[in-house]
Amino acid sequence: VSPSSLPLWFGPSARPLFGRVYLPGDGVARGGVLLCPPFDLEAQEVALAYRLLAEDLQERRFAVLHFDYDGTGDSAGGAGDPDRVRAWQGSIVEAAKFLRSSGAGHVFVIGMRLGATLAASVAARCAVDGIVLWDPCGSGRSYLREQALLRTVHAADQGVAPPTEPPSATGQVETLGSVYGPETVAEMSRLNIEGVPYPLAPNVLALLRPERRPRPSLIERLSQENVEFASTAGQDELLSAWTVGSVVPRAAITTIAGWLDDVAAATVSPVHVSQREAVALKAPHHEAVVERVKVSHRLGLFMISTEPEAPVSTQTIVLLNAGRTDHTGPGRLWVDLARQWAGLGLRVVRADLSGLGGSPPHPGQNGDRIYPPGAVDDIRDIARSVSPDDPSDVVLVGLCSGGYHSAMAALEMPVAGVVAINPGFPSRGGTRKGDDISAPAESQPPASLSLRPVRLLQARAITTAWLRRHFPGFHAALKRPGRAANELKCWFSNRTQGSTRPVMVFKRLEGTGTRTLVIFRPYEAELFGRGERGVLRRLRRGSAFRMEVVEESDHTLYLQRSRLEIVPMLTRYVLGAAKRSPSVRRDEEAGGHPVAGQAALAER
Amino acid sequence: MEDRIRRVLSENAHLAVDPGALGEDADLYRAGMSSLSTVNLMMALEEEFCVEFPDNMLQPSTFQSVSSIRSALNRLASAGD
Repeated sequence: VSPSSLPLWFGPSARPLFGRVYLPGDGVARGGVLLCPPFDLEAQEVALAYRLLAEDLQERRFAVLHFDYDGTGDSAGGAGDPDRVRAWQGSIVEAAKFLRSSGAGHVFVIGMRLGATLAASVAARCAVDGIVLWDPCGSGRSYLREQALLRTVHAADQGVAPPTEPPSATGQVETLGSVYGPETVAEMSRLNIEGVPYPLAPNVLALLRPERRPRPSLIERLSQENVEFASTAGQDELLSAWTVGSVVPRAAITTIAGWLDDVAAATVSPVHVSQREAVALKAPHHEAVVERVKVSHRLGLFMISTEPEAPVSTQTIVLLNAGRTDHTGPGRLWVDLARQWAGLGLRVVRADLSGLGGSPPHPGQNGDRIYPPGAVDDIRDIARSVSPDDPSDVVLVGLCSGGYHSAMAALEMPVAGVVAINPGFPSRGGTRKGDDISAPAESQPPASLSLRPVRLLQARAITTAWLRRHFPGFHAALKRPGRAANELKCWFSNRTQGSTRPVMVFKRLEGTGTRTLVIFRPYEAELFGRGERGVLRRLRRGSAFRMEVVEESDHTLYLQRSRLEIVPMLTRYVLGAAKRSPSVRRDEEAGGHPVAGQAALAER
Repeated sequence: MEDRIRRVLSENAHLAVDPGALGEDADLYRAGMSSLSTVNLMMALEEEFCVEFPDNMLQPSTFQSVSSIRSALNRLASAGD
């Protein structure tokens, strides 16, 4: 993360927008550049590419604003609010106004996918000097159709049954991470570049994906402009593999930055942004909450806290990164949960570990790692920063790698609770077939976990040879096909991993008395328990450990169906774990209300 | 029709094997077709055959094999008659 980037809120105080501004070092810029992100999963897949583009432009003396539309990312509102398309368009207009009011004389806009389509629809209203349409969606309708198909393929891949009614029956469309209601679908379907009156802007750059032939009508419409067409290789690699495997298209970044360099005037003007680091928001049920940008004390890690007016608990819930997804969580789930839980009286922090989202990597290390080295130190720093009086008064919540980091941190520091959803442990030098929870090959196990893979493999080979020689019957049983033999083989293989295997990590955690909730989808529950039946049985008997298996759910929680099952489960757990604040205890002792949040939950 | 489907497959599905060598019922997902390739394939088929798959056909089963694609296209053609 650029040292001179500023996270901030801007726009109307009743409906603030969140963004990150990148300013040239001396505060003097040739103009402002607005980065309009794509939507849903795509917004998270391109986050790193946008950051690198912003840093490139910053070096070329542009002031850059990468922002979240109304109801997306860290901005106020949600996907289910009314009048979405107008609100998104209004966000672009507001962001352009913010750049101008900060001193940028010329404003350019860059939009990708649906972000490009939206940016084109308001470019003239914003009087931008140039626009970059990066792999634009021809229309909102084509975007929704693509996303609906991606969602059904993902659901089938994860073994989740299709919805009983097709989208055409309900009028709503579910994408990966959002559900758009009938009104929004109708508004989005009307959105297209061909229908935008001439001219869009004095200069237009259209980057088109070679894998997809654009509609002739789109080319015809863009040809009316002072347009330069270019091919953008690498979009499939950027958008095809979730955030875990996204590859930054560096050539496209260079093309865009070079084009802006050419079309922008060389004259400069001072740019100064007024920074708003805290805003008042409404939680989903209209409770007043406050969100604040925070930075951890020791390592400077990025966090956003969401706090109620009157906390019912001293505890802080800490939401951690899932894979390479930033602090907004998978499909923005962490933002939704933070606001919902703050509305119930809890204090919540969503944080980026080192090198992820808005947090800098540790000195001398590369960022953007699923398992950042020193993740446990990061979590310790976060806990000390958000709960300085008692760093153990935090509940750690994580999905996939976040679940793993939660558990590993809780083994090294006392915490009030751990929630691990589909915890993904780093692989030992390779992935198992069909095992989508393993880390990619580039990721290294965290420093806190000494796996010593070569020694373990050697030990396994020696043990296998010894077994073959002295207990040929037992060894033959291991080789035999069938469920029992498979279980035996897993049992044997697991023993070579000792206390670092997943079930033993949770067994050790249970031994510390840390309240732990582990949630699995069926496939991952089976992996967790394979060859571990005895240990798992003993673990489940422990009073501090709870394990839930949610039948219809996906690993990444991008499906609405998963969320409908898991969110109430999480909410009950965090409310149940909440240690009551002194004021609430006094109220209760005086015969007043029980924990306000629990009462509110019961009402809902 | 089958040749055209296989040509579109070879250009868009990014399979690990030659689509020409696949049986008509061979599972394209098992042959390496990703979710994004499914979208590319859907769009390319729509352009090649001048059709639009309705919402209820935007399912992996529609694009699972050469025969399922052919069957979907036939259904669309007969609905258009």
